Amino acid sequence: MLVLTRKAGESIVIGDNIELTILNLGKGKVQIGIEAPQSVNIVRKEVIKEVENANRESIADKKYNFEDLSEIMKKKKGKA
Amino acid sequence: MIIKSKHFGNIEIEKKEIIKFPNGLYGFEDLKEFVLLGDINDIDNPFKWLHSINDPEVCFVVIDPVHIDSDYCINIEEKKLNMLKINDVKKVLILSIVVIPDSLEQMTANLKSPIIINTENNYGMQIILDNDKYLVKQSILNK
Repeated sequence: MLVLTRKAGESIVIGDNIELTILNLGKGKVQIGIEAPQSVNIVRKEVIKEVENANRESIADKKYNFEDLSEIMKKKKGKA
Repeated sequence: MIIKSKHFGNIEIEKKEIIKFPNGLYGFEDLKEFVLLGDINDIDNPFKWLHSINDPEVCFVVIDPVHIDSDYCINIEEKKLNMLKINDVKKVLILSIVVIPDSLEQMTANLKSPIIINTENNYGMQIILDNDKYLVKQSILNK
């Protein structure tokens, strides 16, 4: 991993069109400003992990049939 | 063509039914092709299966998120969906992956990172919404 030291207000440029700026240094936290094209997806890593885990959990080991699932939805509609 | 499924045995599908996910799905980046099983227009049963073409063990239960939250509405930068080459927004299908724990009553759906499919060309991707409006694990019954 490349490690660079930056002060508040300083920036790093990645490729042609991504710029990261260190805005504020706080206690145990750093605020980062990001300028990037709209096509670039910027996501907190823990959110990606959460989605990956949810996807993995979704692979059911058992076979659920649609009737059981649709019964649940009927209950939901009954509640609404 | 025939695809193998741990749950359903051999399934016959048509090649044109294959949905291509160039980036795979989160946690399943190597799986690029899926097929949607179940009747998408069956109002009584909104659940469908999104089954991998290549891995017999990978099959997700999915649901149109409007069945969970009738106000479900997402706002995505068009450029983030470039890969899907969307011409007609009406041809776009949005699905949430469902997690089913041992108790069916506790099942949840992922409203934060929906699957977007362009049904015109059968290209799909999973996106992560960059707001805190929706949860990765939204209870289906308690919404």
